[in-house]
Amino acid sequence: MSVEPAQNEFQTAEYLSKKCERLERQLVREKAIRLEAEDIAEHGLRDLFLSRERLELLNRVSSFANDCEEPRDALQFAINEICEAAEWPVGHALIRKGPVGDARLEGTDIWAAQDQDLSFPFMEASRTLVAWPCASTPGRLFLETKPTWVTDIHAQSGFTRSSAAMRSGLRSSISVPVIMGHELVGALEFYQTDTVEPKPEFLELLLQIGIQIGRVFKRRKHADILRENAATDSLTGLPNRLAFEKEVRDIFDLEHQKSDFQSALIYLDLDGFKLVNDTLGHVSGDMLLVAMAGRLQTIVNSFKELTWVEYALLARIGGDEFVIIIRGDEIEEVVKDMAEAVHKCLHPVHRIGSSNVQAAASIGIALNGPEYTDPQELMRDADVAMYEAKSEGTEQTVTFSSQMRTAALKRLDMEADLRVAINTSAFELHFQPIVSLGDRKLVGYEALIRWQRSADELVMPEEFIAAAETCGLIVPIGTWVLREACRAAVRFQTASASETPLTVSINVALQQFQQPHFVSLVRDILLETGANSQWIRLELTESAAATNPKQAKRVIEQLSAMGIQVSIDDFGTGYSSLAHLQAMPFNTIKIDRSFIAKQFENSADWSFVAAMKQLADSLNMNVIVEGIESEFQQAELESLGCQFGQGWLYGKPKPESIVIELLENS
Amino acid sequence: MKGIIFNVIEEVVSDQFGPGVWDELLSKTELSGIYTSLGSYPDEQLFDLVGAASEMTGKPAAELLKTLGRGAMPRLHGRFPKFFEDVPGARPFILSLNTIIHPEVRKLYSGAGCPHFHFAETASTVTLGYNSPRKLCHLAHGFVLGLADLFDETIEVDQPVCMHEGAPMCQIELTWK
Repeated sequence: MSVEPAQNEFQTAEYLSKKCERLERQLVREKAIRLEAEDIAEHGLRDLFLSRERLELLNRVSSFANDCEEPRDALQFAINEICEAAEWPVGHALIRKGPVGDARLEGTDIWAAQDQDLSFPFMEASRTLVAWPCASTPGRLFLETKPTWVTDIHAQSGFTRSSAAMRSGLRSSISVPVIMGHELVGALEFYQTDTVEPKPEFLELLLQIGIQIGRVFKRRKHADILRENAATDSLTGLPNRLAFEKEVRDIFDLEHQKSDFQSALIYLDLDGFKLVNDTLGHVSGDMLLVAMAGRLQTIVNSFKELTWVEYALLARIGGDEFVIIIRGDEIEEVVKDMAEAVHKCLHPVHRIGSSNVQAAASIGIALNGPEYTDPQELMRDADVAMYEAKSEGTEQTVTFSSQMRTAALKRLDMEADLRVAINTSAFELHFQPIVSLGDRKLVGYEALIRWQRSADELVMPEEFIAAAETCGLIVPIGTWVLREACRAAVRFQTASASETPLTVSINVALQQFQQPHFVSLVRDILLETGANSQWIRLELTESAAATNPKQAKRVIEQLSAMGIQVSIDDFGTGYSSLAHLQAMPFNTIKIDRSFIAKQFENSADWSFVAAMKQLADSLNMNVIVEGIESEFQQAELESLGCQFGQGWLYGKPKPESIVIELLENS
Repeated sequence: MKGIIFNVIEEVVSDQFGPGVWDELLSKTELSGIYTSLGSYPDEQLFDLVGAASEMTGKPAAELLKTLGRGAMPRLHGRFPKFFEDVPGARPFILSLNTIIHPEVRKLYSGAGCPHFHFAETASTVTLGYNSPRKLCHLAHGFVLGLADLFDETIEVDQPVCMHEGAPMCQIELTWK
C-alpha cells in the first residue's frame, strides 16, 4: 500500500491553491476597481455639488433682487448670502456717490461679520471709507469692472484700512462691482483670513450677482425719475413731496414778505409700520396706507371748512410719512386740535385682509416764524419734533422748540461716544435679583447694562439703548453683554452655596437676534466662558418673535435644544400676535411692569395680569412679573399663581462685586 | 452615516482583529455588508456592528470606538491626502474641521451629516464642544489620537462633560504635551 497521495489528489490540492490565489488576486483587483470607480464618482459629484451650490446662490440673490425695491436691501441680502455660502468672515457694501469725473465709492453700514467683536475695528474703518477711482481696490473697480482678488491686502499700496484689518486678522480680499448697464453703482467687498484664491467659476458667479443687484439700482432710478416727474403719489393719490414743497414755499414766501406768520407744518409718521409690512406683507402695508390717507383727508377737509382756517393741504412724502400744512388764525391752537383729531381718526381698527390692524402715529409740529430762512428748515424741524414724539412712546404730539435741536445734536454726540465706548469696553453690568414668589427664594438675576460715560457719569440703558439701536451699535454692545453676563454667571455659581443653580437673564435686542450667526455666537460664548447653558435665560422682545416668525421659531428652537431658556420680555406692551406666541417655544413670559404699576390699591384691577397668567398656563409657560415694589403687589401676584418676581421689593440692580459678596455671605 | 466610514472601519477591523472578523460581525448582525463610499446607510448599522464587536471581544463599545477612530486616521489620510496637504499639525487640522474639512466632505458626499464642533482655545489646549445626536464622541476621541500619531504629537484627551451622561453637549479637552 502506498503512503504517497494519488497523483490526482496532488493535482486537486495544487489546483485548489492556485484557484484560491487567483480568486484573491481577483478580489484585490475588484476592490481596487471599486475604489477607483468611487473616486471618479466622488470627483464628479464634487463638481456637480459646487456648480449646484453656485446656481442656488445666484438663484437666491436674483429672486430677492427681482422682488426688491431698495438697493440697500439687495446689497445686504447678497452680502449675507455670499458670506454664508463662501464662509467668508467679513462682507461690506459700498455705494457710488458723486457725478462722473468726481465719482467715488463710499462705505456704508451694510455689512456682515461672523465674529462681530473681532471685525468691529475694521467695520468702523470701512463705514467711513471713501474710495476714489484708481486708488487701491475697491476704487480700481472704476477702471476694470470685474471681481478683483488681492492675495495680501497689507502689501497693497493705498490700502488705508490696513491696521484695522490687521487687528481683525484679515489678509486677503475680493472686490465685486455692482454694475448698472456699463456704470459702476456700488461694490461688494469681502475679506478673508486665509489666502486661497477663489475658483474662476466663483468669480464669474460674483460678477453675475453684481449685475443682478445693479438691476435693483436701475429700477430704483427709473422709479425715482417717475416719482419726481409726477405731482401725485401713485399709491394714495395725494400730492407728493415735490408738489407739497412747492405749496409750502409759496405760503412761506408770502408770510415772510408780509411778516404775518400763521402757518404750521405737521409731520406724521406711523408707529410700527415696518412691523405691519414685515408680518402681514407689503400689499397689506400699502392697503393700510391707502386707508389712512382717506381718514387723514377727511380730517383735513373738515378743518378746511372752518371759517378761521385759510388753507390746509395733506401730502404723502415717504413710506409711512404724511405731512400737512395749515394756515389760519390762532394757528398754535388750531394745529394742536388737528393733531388731536388725527390721533383720534386712527383709533378705529383697520380691516386689512383677514387681520385687524390698529394704527397709531407720532406727530411733530413746527410753527412758521421769522427765524426760518428756508421752508426746508421748517420741514426739518417738524421732522425733529416727530422723532421726539416717537421717543416718548406711541400716539404722541410734540411741537418743535429750539431745545430739541440741541437734543438732536446731543444724540449725534452720543452716537460718537458710544462708538468709542465699544472700543474701550466702557460698559458694566448690574444684576437685579429674581425670586420665586412663593418662598422669596433667590432663583437668579437679570443682567442690566450701565455705561460709564465719564469718571462720574453712569448712564442708564433707557438713555442710550434706543440710540444704539438706531445706529446699529446695539449688535456689538449686545455681544459684549452676552459674554460678560455668561462670565458673571460662572462666578455666581462659584460664590453661591445654593444647590439649585442661579440663572442669569440677558436681554437680546431684535437686531442682535436677527444676526445670521446668533446661535453659533451664543454657543461659542458658552464654551469660551464655561457657562452652563441651563444657567442662561435669553429675554427677547415681542417684536423679535413677530418679525420673521419662521426664522425666530427656528432660532429659539435651536437655543432651547442647547438647554438655554428663552423668555418673552415686556409682554403685553408691543405688537403681539397670539398665533405667533403659541408657535414659539418660549418657556417664560415676562409681564411688563406697567401692568402692575397702578395696582397699589385694594380695588385695583388685576384682570390683565390674571389673563396673561392664564394664557401662560395654557401655553405651559412660567411667568415672571417685573416692577414689584410692595408687599400688597407680592401677595396679589402670589395668589394669582405667578411663579417669579423681580422688583425693588427684593432688591435693586447692584454691581457684580456686591452680588458676589451677598452670595458668599448668605 | 456615509459608506466611506463603514469602508474605513472594515479595513481597520480586518487589520487589527484579523481578516475574517468583519465577515463574522456581518453574519452576527445579519447585515448585508454592501457599503459603497457614495451611499448612505442607517446609523444603527454602525452601532450594531460596534455592539457585536464589543460582545465578541469583551471590550466596551466606547473603547472600541476609540481604537477604530485611531486606526481610521492613517487610512483617511491615504484616501484623502489633499485634506492633509500643507497642514502643519493636529491643532490647525482640528481647528479647520468646520471651515475646511467638513465643507469639503459635504462636497464629496452630498447630504453628509458632519458634526459642527465648537472651539475654545488656550496656548496648550483646545476644548471641542460636540453635540451631534449620534453621540459619537468616543470616535472623535479616537480620531484625535490618530491625528496625534500622524503628526507625531502627544495629545492628552479628556472628556469632563459627556452627552452619554445626560449633558446637552460633550466637551472634549485636548492638551498638548
